[in-house]
Amino acid sequence: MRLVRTRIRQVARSRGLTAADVARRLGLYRSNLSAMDAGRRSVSLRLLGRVARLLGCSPADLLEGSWAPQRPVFRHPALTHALETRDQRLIDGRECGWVHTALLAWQRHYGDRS
Amino acid sequence: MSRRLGRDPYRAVIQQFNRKGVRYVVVGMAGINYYARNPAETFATLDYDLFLEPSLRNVERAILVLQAFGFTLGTSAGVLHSVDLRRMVRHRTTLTATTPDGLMIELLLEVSGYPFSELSRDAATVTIWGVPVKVGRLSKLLRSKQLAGRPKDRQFLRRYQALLREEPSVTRGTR
Repeated sequence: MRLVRTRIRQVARSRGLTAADVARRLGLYRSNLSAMDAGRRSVSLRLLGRVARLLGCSPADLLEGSWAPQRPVFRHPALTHALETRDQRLIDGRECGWVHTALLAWQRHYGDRS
Repeated sequence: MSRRLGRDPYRAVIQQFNRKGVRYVVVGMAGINYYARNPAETFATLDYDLFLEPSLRNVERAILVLQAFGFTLGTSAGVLHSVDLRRMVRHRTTLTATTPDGLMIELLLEVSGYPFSELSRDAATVTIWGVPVKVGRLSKLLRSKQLAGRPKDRQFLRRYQALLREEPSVTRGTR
């Protein structure tokens, strides 16, 4: 029988926790969490719910394959590269007030017409 | 007493969300527009999509903020008179919040392809006149549209592809 794989360590890391932290807080063995992530050990919905509560996410978020794989949006490599460049160009803290000005102008324009 | 929304209702709401600890990510066309380099690259959209962490406490906080601003809350079925939060979160119901002059914020509890944690994990934080705003990564926002697969999404992706083709790196590569 194939077991469901989880991504507990990955989600924990995104919240600044290690698998050991999660295991300690829930009174589990760290090796059990690793086995669940690898699909070598079954995981109950109840336990998944406890982990999800600790990590502040939905139990579905902890299941491997529950989110879209990182496949390119566009087939052409040059477009993928352009998309990645655009993605990376938006750096944290950039002032984008003008985007709201444009957005609200669009909405007033179409709002007045409807 | 209701709070004042000012000239930019979106900024005002996000500012309060930040203060009250509401977990959100801007998604959809509104999110994609933050990646524009100039106004000519923005796309018209009639609403502002916010993906909320689908937990009871988080949605409750968001609704309290919107009610304090005097937004009219609704769902696709119409105006919302009583808020059964537990049911909404369970069914991932999309909420709408509308200002008296018709500006709309959509509160999504699910989006195609990504759970909240995955979009929030690497979200960018831009500022709107000093207010931090969390925005989903462009590649994920486009991928989500692709997975949603509605005719308007497919049409938008074709337009976005045309926009990317104008980038100097692409023009050079295809020459």
